[in-house]
Amino acid sequence: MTAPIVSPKALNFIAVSPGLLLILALFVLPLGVMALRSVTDPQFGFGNYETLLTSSTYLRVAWRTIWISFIATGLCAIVGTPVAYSLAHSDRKLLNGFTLAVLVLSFLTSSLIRTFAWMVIFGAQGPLARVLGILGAPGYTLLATPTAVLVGMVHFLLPIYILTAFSGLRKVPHHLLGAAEGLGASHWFALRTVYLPLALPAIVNGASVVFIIGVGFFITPALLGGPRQTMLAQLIARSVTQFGDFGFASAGGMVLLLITIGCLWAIRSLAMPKTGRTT
Amino acid sequence: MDQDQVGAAISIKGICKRFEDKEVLRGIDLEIPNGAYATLLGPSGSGKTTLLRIIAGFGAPDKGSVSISGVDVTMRRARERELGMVFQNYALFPHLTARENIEYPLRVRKLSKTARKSLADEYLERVQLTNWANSYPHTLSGGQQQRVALARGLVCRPKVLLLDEPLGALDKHLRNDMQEFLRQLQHDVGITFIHVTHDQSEALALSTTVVVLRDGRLEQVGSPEELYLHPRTSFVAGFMGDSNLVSALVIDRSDQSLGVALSNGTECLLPNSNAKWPDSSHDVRLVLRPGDAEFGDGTSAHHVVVSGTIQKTTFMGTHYEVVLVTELGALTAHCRTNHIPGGHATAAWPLDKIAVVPA
Repeated sequence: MTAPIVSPKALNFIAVSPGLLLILALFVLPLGVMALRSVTDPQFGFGNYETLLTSSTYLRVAWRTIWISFIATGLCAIVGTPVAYSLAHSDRKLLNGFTLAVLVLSFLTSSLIRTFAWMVIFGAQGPLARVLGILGAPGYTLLATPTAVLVGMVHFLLPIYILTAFSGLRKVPHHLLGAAEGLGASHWFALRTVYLPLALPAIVNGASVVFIIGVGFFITPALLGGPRQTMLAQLIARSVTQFGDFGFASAGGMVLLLITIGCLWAIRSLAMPKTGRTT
Repeated sequence: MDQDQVGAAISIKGICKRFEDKEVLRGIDLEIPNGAYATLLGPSGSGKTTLLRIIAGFGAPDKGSVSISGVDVTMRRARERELGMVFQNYALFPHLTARENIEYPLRVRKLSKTARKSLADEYLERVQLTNWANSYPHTLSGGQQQRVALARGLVCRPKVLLLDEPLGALDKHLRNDMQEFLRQLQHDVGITFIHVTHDQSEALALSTTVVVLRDGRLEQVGSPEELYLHPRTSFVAGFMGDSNLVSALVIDRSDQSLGVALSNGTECLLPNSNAKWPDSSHDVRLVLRPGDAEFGDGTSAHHVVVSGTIQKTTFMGTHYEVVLVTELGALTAHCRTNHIPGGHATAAWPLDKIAVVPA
């Protein structure tokens, strides 16, 4: 018997190498360059980080980025989980098809156009201002308020949350709710003690995805928010486009990345069940 | 004895249920006595699971009523019926340990932590899982999961425990062990069990009362012996154990005996023990159990004797299963010794072991 020319292990490696190279070239390499640049541009050292972390403006913006994303994620979870639940477990095909169609269609409209639409709705001459005017609060606009930013963010993030959570919730054994009720539990008690713990991984997954996207939001706060709603991504963009300071922007990017990783770790270690499995 | 102890645990009157255009239950009247181990037995589609679900409160009947211990619960929701339930495939909560699963019905009823613990300890011991109290369901074997489900169903001392094909997912060997365990457990706790199964040997081994369902109707209700020895229909005769059904005509009926003529011209007098036997010139079927056959030769006044050619024999361990082609058709009989296929043999069935059912 002749030995194979290439060992199975090596074959595996060859098979995954195109994918690995792609990840390396498109993600690891740029990230490495960015990390390097944040400590070498304009000169070697942690000067960029020092400026960033000692500036009260930047810290305030970083903190705002976290809590606005957090609230937007929370709103998505509160509004989206029941929708995802119904999609995952209801057998009303027509309703499910309609809901899915609406969700997928919303991806076909660019986020820029959707944000402009909100600008029109919230604007000083918009329908909302007119209704408020009739009700006796003339000249009021939601533009440049946290509410406008949150509405814009949730509008964009909600379909993403619902579809992510839905794919996880489908695998939750829904018949256990019936079992719990057979053992004497009310529907609400069964939902809380049986369904929710089993659904938590799906909910946390959806929330994580939405949070990561939310932290990096740029267009929505720029167009719907005012100076007091500036988020970290905007500051990073500004330091590149207005000041050409790539080193500082890289440091900002690294901080944003670390914030995201830190928050995700916190969410997951707090919310993910430590034992048991869903099937 | 007070009324509660002798009364019916479950009383069902005129239950009908239809799913879209299919009538699943067509007027079920049934009483299950307190302390019974009842099985609802029938082939798939007979309505047994639907009936159990209606008793449990998962789906209202279209007509009829359900009473538990004399209280009409037809309009009550599942959780208000004080029943225990063991679900098909157990339906254990995967995120809870064996102990937490067993404590769940107690948590629902807002028992204190110490009361929950002591009851859970008691039932963990009853199902011999004390050492697995803190294991999660997916780390337990099928039989152990089954026992957690049983403890969870029993822990709040329900009036009735409902079991939906509880042994269906277990292999044959384990199923036999669990049957023994279930019987003992039911005896110890003294709670009425209602157990759905399609397996007649399971029903025979477990129950004090067997309820045979067919096409949404009650076929026969009785003890395993009654159903086996005195089936009232050919369906029950065929379903409860193996049987040969042989056509015959009633030629004479008295209080003590029933005279029948077989298709090969043989006439015999069966000792009458069933007042419901039909009158003369009715077509009936005789139930010849393979295990009752006696091999030999000659004739006897106390036997139905048939001769024929041996078609095939199968070794079954304790006996050989012999298929005999006779004037009455192909008959299966059990024999202690082997026969050579193609040979001639005579089998005889004692008259007092032959049941008669309507054709």
